[in-house]
Formats: sequence, C-alpha cells, structure tokens
Amino acid sequence: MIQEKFKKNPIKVDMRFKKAAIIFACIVAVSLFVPFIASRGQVVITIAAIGRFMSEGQTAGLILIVAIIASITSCITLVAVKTQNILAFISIALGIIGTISAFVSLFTIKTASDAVGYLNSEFMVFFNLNFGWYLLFIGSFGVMFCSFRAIKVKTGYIILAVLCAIWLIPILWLFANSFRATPGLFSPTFFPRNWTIRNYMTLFTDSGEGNMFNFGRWFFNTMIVATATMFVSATIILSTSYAISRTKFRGKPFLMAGLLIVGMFPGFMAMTAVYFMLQWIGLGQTLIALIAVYSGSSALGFLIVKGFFDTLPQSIEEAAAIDGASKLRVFIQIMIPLSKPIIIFTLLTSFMGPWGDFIFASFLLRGQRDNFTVAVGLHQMLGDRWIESWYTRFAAGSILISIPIAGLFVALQKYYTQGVSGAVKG
Amino acid sequence: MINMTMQPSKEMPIIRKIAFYLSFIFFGLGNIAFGQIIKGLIFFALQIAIVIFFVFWGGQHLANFATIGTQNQEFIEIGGSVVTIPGDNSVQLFLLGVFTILLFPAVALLAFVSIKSGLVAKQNYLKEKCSLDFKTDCKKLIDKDLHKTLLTVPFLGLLFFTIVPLVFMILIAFTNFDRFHQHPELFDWVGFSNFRAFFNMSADGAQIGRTFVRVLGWTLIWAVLATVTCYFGGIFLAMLINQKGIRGKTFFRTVFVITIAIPAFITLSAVSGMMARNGIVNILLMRWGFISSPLPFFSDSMWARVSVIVINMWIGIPFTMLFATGVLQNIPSELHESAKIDGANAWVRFRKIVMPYVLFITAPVLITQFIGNINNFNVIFFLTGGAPAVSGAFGGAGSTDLLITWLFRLTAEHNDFSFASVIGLSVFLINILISLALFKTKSFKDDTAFRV
Amino acid sequence: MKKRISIIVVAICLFFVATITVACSSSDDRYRLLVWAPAEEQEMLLSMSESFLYENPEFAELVRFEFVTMDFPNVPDEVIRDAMSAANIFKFPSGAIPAMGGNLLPMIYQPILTNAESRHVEAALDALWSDVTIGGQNRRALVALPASPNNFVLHYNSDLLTEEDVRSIESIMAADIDAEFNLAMPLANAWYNKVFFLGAGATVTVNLETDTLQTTFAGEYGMKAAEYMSGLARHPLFLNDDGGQGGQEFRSGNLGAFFGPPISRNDVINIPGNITEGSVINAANYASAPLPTIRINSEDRQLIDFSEHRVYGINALTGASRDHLEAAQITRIAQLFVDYITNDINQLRRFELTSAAPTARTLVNHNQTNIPHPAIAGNPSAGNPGRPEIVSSIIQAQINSAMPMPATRALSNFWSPQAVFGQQIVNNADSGTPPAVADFQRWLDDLYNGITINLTA
Repeated sequence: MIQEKFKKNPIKVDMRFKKAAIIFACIVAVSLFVPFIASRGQVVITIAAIGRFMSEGQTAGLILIVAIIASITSCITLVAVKTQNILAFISIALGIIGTISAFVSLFTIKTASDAVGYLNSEFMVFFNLNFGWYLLFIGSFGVMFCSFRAIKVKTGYIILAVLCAIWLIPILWLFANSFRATPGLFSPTFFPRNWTIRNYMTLFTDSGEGNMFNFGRWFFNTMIVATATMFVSATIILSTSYAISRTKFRGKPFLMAGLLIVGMFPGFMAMTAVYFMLQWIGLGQTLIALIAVYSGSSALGFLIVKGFFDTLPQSIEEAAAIDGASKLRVFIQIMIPLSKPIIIFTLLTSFMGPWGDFIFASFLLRGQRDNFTVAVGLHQMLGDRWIESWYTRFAAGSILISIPIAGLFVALQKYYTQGVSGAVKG
Repeated sequence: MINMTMQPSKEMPIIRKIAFYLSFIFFGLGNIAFGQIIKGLIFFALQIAIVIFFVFWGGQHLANFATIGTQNQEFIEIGGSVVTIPGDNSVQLFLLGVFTILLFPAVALLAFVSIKSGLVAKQNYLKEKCSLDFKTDCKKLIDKDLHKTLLTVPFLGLLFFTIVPLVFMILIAFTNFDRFHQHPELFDWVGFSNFRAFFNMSADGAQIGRTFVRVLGWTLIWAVLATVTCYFGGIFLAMLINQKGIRGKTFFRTVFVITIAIPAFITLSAVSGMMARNGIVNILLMRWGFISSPLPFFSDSMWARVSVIVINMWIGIPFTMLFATGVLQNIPSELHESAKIDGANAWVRFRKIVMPYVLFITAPVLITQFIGNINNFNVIFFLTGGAPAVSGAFGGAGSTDLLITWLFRLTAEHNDFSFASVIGLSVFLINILISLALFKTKSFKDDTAFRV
Repeated sequence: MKKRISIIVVAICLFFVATITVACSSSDDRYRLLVWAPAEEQEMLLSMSESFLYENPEFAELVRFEFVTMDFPNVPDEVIRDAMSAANIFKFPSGAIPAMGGNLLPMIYQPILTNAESRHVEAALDALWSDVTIGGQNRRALVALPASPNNFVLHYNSDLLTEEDVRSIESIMAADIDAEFNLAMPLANAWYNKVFFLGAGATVTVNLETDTLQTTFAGEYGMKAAEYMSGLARHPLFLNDDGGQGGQEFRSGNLGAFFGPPISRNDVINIPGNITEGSVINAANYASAPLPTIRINSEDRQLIDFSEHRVYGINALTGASRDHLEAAQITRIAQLFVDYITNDINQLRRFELTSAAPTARTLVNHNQTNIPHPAIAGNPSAGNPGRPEIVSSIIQAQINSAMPMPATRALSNFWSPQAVFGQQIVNNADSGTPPAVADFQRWLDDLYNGITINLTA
C-alpha cells in the first residue's frame, strides 16, 4: 500500500544532504578510535585494546557497536536511495537508532571504563581526547539529520520528540517511584531495582498509625467537594457573565470595574477572616465551608465566559422578545443550549480546581483529618516524620488521582482549548 | 426624571404629597402613598430592622470596635479546681465592628433604592392613574430586571467571601494582630506603625524593610521573566506543531497538555525531589561522570532562581501553547501564501506576519499572565518553599520567595496577620498599578474582550 | 388536588425525620473531652481512658473521651491559632508553654500537685510551674504534666564503633571504620545544631524587661561553635543528614553513628515485614550514648541541649460552655486524667508501647540504685540488652537539666534564624573554600538580629 503511494508521486531526494551525510559517517568512523588514544605523549592505537573494551565493558561496548554500525549503515542506505521509498524510511530508522545509541553511550562510558580500568579517568573533559565520544554523538546526529532532510521529512519531528521526552520525564519518575519497593525519598537509580504493587494496595488498606493517612476518605471528600463546587460555581459564573454580557442596566461599567479590582487582591489574603467567620457560625473545618469558599468568590472568573457570550448574536434575544418570552426563558432555553462548549469549559475548570488546590484547603481544614482533601493529605505524607515510609505511597496516590483527572482533561481538551482561545479572540 | 411641565391629569391629594416627602425619612412611604403597599412595607420593615439593630447592638459594636476588647481572660477557683471565664475575643469583636461599619453604606443604598422607587411610583401614578402592583413587579424580575435575579447569589457570595474578609484584613493591617497577640491576648489599633516598619531600611533590628524590598524586586523580575519565557516558548511550540507536514498534531499536543492536567503540586513536588542535593538528577549526573559534586540547584541563590524559571517554563508552556494554537490557526493562510510567493522565508514571515498578529490578539492575556505570575504561589512554594534561606530575613523569606509566598508563610506558619495584611495590600497596589499601566496600551483599547 | 396531598405527605415525613434526628442527637449530654495525641499513642490512650473511666464510674456519666491524631510539633500552633476548635487535652513540647500562655488551664487541684512533686524528677517539672492569677490572687500552679524527655541522643553501630570511640566527636571522626561515613547529623535543623553553640559556652536567655531573647551566640563562643560546625560539615567522613538519608545509610551499614531522638531506633533496627527489613542493625550491634564532647580551645566541652519535655496540657476553654459548677467538675476530671496517664504504671506502659523514656523517679532511678527500671536497663549478663537509647535519653535529660529553656513567648524567634545559619554552613560545605572569618561574623550577626528581634519596639 505504501509502495503504491510512493510509486504514484516519487519525491526526489535532496543531493546536498546525501553528501553531508557521508561526511558525518566518516566522522563516526573516526570517533571509534579517538578515545583509545592514551594521553601523556604516547599514542597507542591497537585493535586489541578496542577488542578488550568491547568484551570487558559489556553493555557499553555493545551500545558503542550498535551506534557506529547503525549510523554507518544508515548513511550507506541513504546513498542508495533515490526517491522516498521504504529504503528511505529504513535509513531514517537506522539513523534514529544510531543517534539514540550514541547518546546513551555518552552515559555508559564512565561505569564501563571504571570496570575496565585503563581509560582516562577525567571523563567528559573536552581536551582529554575523550571528545571522541562527543564526535560519535555529533556524527550520528548529523547522519540522522541529513537523512531526514534528504528525504524531505520534517526535522521538526526531532525537536518535538526531544521536547516530548523532556516533558514526560517527571511524570515517568513519579510513575517509576510508585512501584518502588524500597521506601524512602532517595533512590539510587531512575527505574527501581525492586518492583512492587504494594504501594497502591496499602494506600487503601493501611491508613497509617492513628489513622493519619486515609486515602480512600480523602478521595471521597474531594469528589464531593469537586462535584458540589462544579455545580455551584458554574451556576454563579454563568449567571454573572450572562448578566454582564447580555443585560442592560445602569452601573454595569462600575460592576465590571469593581469585580476586576476586587480580583486584584491576592485571594489568600482574605482567608484568615473567612476562617474566623466560618468558625463563628459553626462551619469551621468542614467540607461545606470548603465548598462555600471555592464557590463564593468564583464570580471573579467571569471574564472568559463573558467573552464567549459577547460573541452570540443579539438577534436571538430580539426575536424571542417579540415572541413574548421572558429574558429568563431566553437564558435558560435558548442561550444555554447554544453555549455548550463554554459550559463544559466552566464545569471542567470548576471540577478540577479542588483536586489541585492546597493552600485554601489546608488553611481551612487545619487539623481536621477526616475532612482532608486529596491535596492536603498527600502533602502531609511529605512531612519530615512520614516521608521516609510514605514517599512511595505518595507517588502511588499521585498517579491514582492523576489518571482520572488527566483522562477527563484530555477527553475534554477540545472544549478547554476553545474556552482558552475564545478568551483571546475577543 | 419627572417632567415638571406635564399637566397632572389627576390632582394629588395633600396627604399623598406629605407621605411622599416623608418617604425621605421613613423609607417606603413613597411607595405606599402611590399604591405599592407591599413594596413599601418591605422597605419599611428593612429600615426598622436596621434601626433596631443600631439601637440595641450597633452602638455597642462600634464602641468595641474602637477598643477591640478590654476584658482579659480570668481564672477562678471552684471546688478546688480552676474554671476559666473567657475574656473578650478580639477577632469576634473586630468582625462585628466590620459588619456594623459595612451597614452604613448598606443603609445609604437602601435609602437610594427606596427613594428612587418612590419617585418611579409617583411618576407612574401621574401617568397612568393606577399603580403597578407587586405581582407585576415580581414578573419584571425575570424579564426586564433579570440582572437583579441573576446577580443576587453571586453578589451575596462575593459579599461574604470576598468583600467583608478583604475589608477585615485591610483594617487588620492597622492593628498589631501578630503572633504575640493571639487569643486569649487582645490586640489593638496601632495606626501606621506596621507600614512604617516596612519602610524601615536599616540593617539592624527586624530588617522588615530590607526583606520587603528584596522580595518585591525578585517578584517583579520573576514575573517578567516567567511571563516572557512561557509566552515565547508557547508560541514557538505551537508553531512547531502547527507546521504543515507534521502528522499527529493532536498526539503531540496531548502529551504537553497532560502536564496541565496533573495537579501542579504533585508534579512540582516530584521535580523538587528529583533536583534535591541527593536527588536522582544529581546522582545520575555524578554516576555518569558529568559532574564531581552535586549541583546546588536549590541551595545556591542564583541557581535556585534560574531553576525556578526553567521549571516554570515546563509548567507554563503547554498552557500558552494552547491559546497560541488557537490564535495561529486563525491567521489567514493567504497571508502566508502570498508572502511565500514574494520570496519571504520562514523567519521573515514570522517577524512580519505572525508575531505582530499574535501580539495584538494576545496582549490582554499577556497582562493577565503577568499578574498571574506575580501571584504564582504553586511553583515557588512546592518547588523550593522559598529556599535558599537568606540570613537576616524577616519571617523566613528566602531568595526565591515571592510576596505571595511570604504572605502565606507569615499567615499560616507565624500567625503574623498584621504584617501579612500589609504585604497583601502592597500586592494589590502592584497589581492595580501594572494593570492600569499596561491597559493603556493601544492593543488593549482596540480589543473587544473588555467591551462593556 | 393530588399535588396538594403529595405536598402534605412530604411535609409530614420531613417533620418526622426532623424530630427523630433531633431526639436521637440530643440524647448524649456528656461533655466531650477531645484529646490530641501523636499517632503512636492513640491505641494506648484509648485503653488508658477506658481503665480510667472504669476505676471512676461517676466520671463516665459526665464526660466521654475522643481521640484524634495530631502531629506533636504542630500542636502549639494549632492551639494558639484557634483555641476554640482545639482539643481539650493535648501533648506538646514544654518549650512552647510561654507562647501558649493563657491557653493552658492551670492545675491547682492539690492531690495532683502533691503527686507530681513526689512522682517526677525535678528537672521534668521545672518548666511546668507558672504563676497565675486565680480569683484575684497570685498562685503557683502546674500548667502541664510531663510524660517523657524531649531530647536526642547518639545512636551507633557497635560493630563499627566502641563505647570509647563515641565519647567525643573527635574520636568518632578519627575512628578508622569500614563505612563510607562516620557520623551524620541534620546540621540545617535548629533543634540539632544549637547544641554546638550551647556546648561551646554561648547562651540564650530572656530579657525580662522587653520580653525578648538575648544571646551571646554572636560572641566568641559562637564563633568557635560556627568554625567547629563548618569544619565538621566539610569533613569527608561526615554526612549532613537530610530527608532521612542518615537512617538509610545506617541501615545499609554505610554509617557509623547518627544523632536522633530515641525513637529513631525503631527506624533502623531490622524488623521483618517492616520497611526496615534488610537492615544490618539488630539488637546485638545497636548501641546508644548521650551526646559526645567537642574540643574547643584545647578543652573538652560537653554538648548540651535545652532541657525540654513532652508534656500533656489542658485547654483553658475546657468546660467553658457549661455553667461554673459543671465546668469545675469537668476541669477536675481532665486534670485527674492527665495525672493518670502520667503516673508510674502508665509511664511504664508508655515506654513499653511507644519506647518513650519516663520521667517518674521510680522508673528512672529504680529502688534508688541509680539504675533505671529493669525493663529499660535490661540485664546484659543474661543476654537482655535492655533499651540503651532510653538509658541514654534519661542520662541526657539529666545533663540537659543544667540548661533551662528560655521561658518567653519570644522563643519562637529562635528557630528560624538558627535554621538559616545551619543552612548557610551546609551550603558552604559543598563549595571549594571554607568560609572566611568575615563570613562567619556576618552570619552570626544575622543570627543575632534574628533571635533578638523586638517587633513591639
């Protein structure tokens, strides 16, 4: 199938890059020997030395071989390629393998040479002829790059792949830690030596000494708070935005300016007073208080939704008014169905807020452990006394709540993007 | 407005005239005089309620507000054991005082509304010889006056959870409600002495002023750098993904979006653990031979600041990428095509077409992001906690502390509420000043998002 | 018509539900005594409360107990910040007593005062006396009762270090042992690093006029201590203990000795099925000693700490919601309970269940033999090693009793600057050059300013 597609429109190969690829392949070949030149005035290049390194250095040697062979083969294949066909993609694949192996070999060298014992100990220092390793990397990267350009595949993929890898590293680390068997904050390797699912199980079964860490309860609490906040907040935001956007009344500019100005105060500043007020009416350290706090000031987030309502045409209301419908009916029965994207956006952001909020929840709930949300509870696990035994379970708990939230977010990504860019379009 | 030249079609009985003028003192009489009995009674009842409140309790609250409590807690002995007689609770007295004070504008508002509605009733009476009854008024609430219905609950929410607490905290800045004046101790008014302490720049003593200036400086620098790096990074990334010939755009975008989806404190705690002195990053770098001693990511001032900005890029770029994508997709492709035909390469096209367009459209978001970064609590708190610690700082403010994290630490850890309020006020002032300054730029004025 | 009937039916149902809920909830009239205690004490206190109520059945009609876990160091802050929502009885460090001031109920019930004086060692009660005005008169009352000392000791691996080795830090560092590190300590932690200053001879006292701290930490003794700390931090065989790394290294046999509270023993000794499984430390090679000496100015100076204890106190607002007579009964019961959980039998139970060193004379000085109770001291000849870390803790408490904690609420100003100072030393330890005298002086001056800060001036 792919062959036919290429036969139909053959894409010409760029010749300049072929030549460049050959130059890079030569660099790769040279770099094979460079690191084995001992310093202190003696120049010793022996095949035997290289052979010993391959056999005694184990994985390092293997990776080195793979890198060199892959890059050179890639170059050779590239030279043979005339149009964008299967061979071309094989060449690219080999180039990628070569570059990744060269990259990895940069890291394995120290451990391997420590085992072998005669390579220069001041590693990675440029002027000790260890720059041969860097040459290898540069060479294989060059081969890959040239093969991309030669076959007219976008090199943007390379950068994107690298960026994606960088972006996912911390999440991968958290994931790996959640399966780590040895407890404690510090781990000598990225991927744990001993794997276990126990962390996930004990999250729910073991609530720690004195019931300190009741993960199941926190999850339940946060679900309640998030759902309630979602409904109340969304209603408030929609009402406020609609009123500001679509109704006429005197003092509207003042109201908008007032809301904007009040929003300039740091939200946390009001927390002390809110705590005392809630305690006074008996709601201190309860979940209802948390819901009330999250929803009470949600009107300040009206700007994005108002922007959306502004884009709806005025004619709808005029037509409905002629038909005798009250404005309230217009709002509920006409406007809301039309605003599905922004409503989902509002519901999503209101739902996700309580899951990630720490400062308000911790300040309001204080010591009332039964009412903790997931954010406050997980943060407790990082306390001095507990981190040693609970860090891996913290990682497990984090993954457990991240999966549904991330899943929800990704599923509704379309609406989120619309809402955010809607704010921009104006 | 009453049209004085209009000939009344009906003579107004004297008593109605008197009732109308009396409505300036007794709210609601104006409505009653012109037939709106229920509405008038409602206004009158509200007025009576407020008067009763003031007579019985208001004076006491105001007096307490001036002294903020005089009665200390006492112990007495009964049956060989001690019983506590609670003293005044300064916080509660302060709250009651704030409520009472806020009643004054409420009274003014009530007066305004009732008198105005009396005038409207009079006008209707003169015009139509009959008055609107209560039922019709209610009907208007869901039609012409829909804004009143829609805004009631949000307004009440704002009132209780934002406005009253803010007034409370602003006034606290003028008291000495700090860690030494917690219940059962009473606190008192101290005027501007907290503010004076913040301007005290001397190197001896509390060093409040010096700490404040340092933290303020870093907050502004941080906000600028964080906003700029995330902004251009996001645009770059969006353009990268948006290129023609890249397949799997949604896949790439989703990968970056996952970072936004996971709650910030989780990812930041993970990164903080990774880059600690004995964290995995240092361990791996040392094992691979790149460095010989651990890199001081979070223990050296300069390193910490750079690290924080870099990691903030990791958190913030996906977000800016999302809205930049939306904007970029709206650039008409004919512009690009015609420029390509004219021989412009990618870089020139970027400079002359993409950037101006994107800047124009996203300027308000840039401002919002800037202000958001000034108040960006999560990144600093969970990544460094304000570390590395700075010798001689007040309230433990470290080199990466922002005003907002300093505020949090003073409130949650040290109970220094009065100082925290001063900082909060200064953050507010900064936000206002910057918003005003930036909003005056041309692109904002043209932008319709703020159209009223 | 149908609609009206259904509305009436719903209203009646709601009415019944409401009355039933009200009736059920108002049945328990007993006062709730909420107790905040650390996680490891929850079960123990629950059973203690049950036996307390069993022995005094008339109390069971008046009060009921409820236990909630609260981390020990957080208690003073929680009580100060919001006394009304705080527990009625709580465990906290005695150093926080001046800061908690009026939040603590003074105990003047005579039987309790007599019990306390005869039961506990003097050092334990020193910080717990307070002069309060009761009914217009000045009286001396106890504001808390002690449970165990709050100090840290030296834990060491007796396979690697001998008893002679751990007498001074110099000998620890000089010992040639087959481990990566000889000694670990959290140098950036103020609770730990202050012992260098106090041991060197610097002091922290109270300025009674301004109710602030005054200190000689920035003087010559402070400079000596600072130089010593820096030298130790830069020593290749010293590990700056951060985030539990000391415990991990000790368990793997890479560390000779570390400083920590007595309970750290449970974190390092091999217990199958626990997180410490696989540790090389067991009852045979685990040993403990009081704090060692340091050599300053050619003189051996004993490292000394503030004298502090873990104590139980009562919230001043206990019973305040009831009338005076009932409140007096409730506070009396609360005092009797606190006295009960700190008596000899229960201190022994606390030791057995949570490994806390006691303060009761009969346990600390069993039968006046100057040796602690056999459960603690063990019987080495019979192969029962006893609990060396508890013995060390008891000895250390006696050593510390010479250095009282500054009794002022301004003590809260001490911790943060001291921690910052330690952090400076630690940060410098990684760099190439040791700090110059000017650097030390600058840090010490900042430390001085931080400790002696006077916000009300």
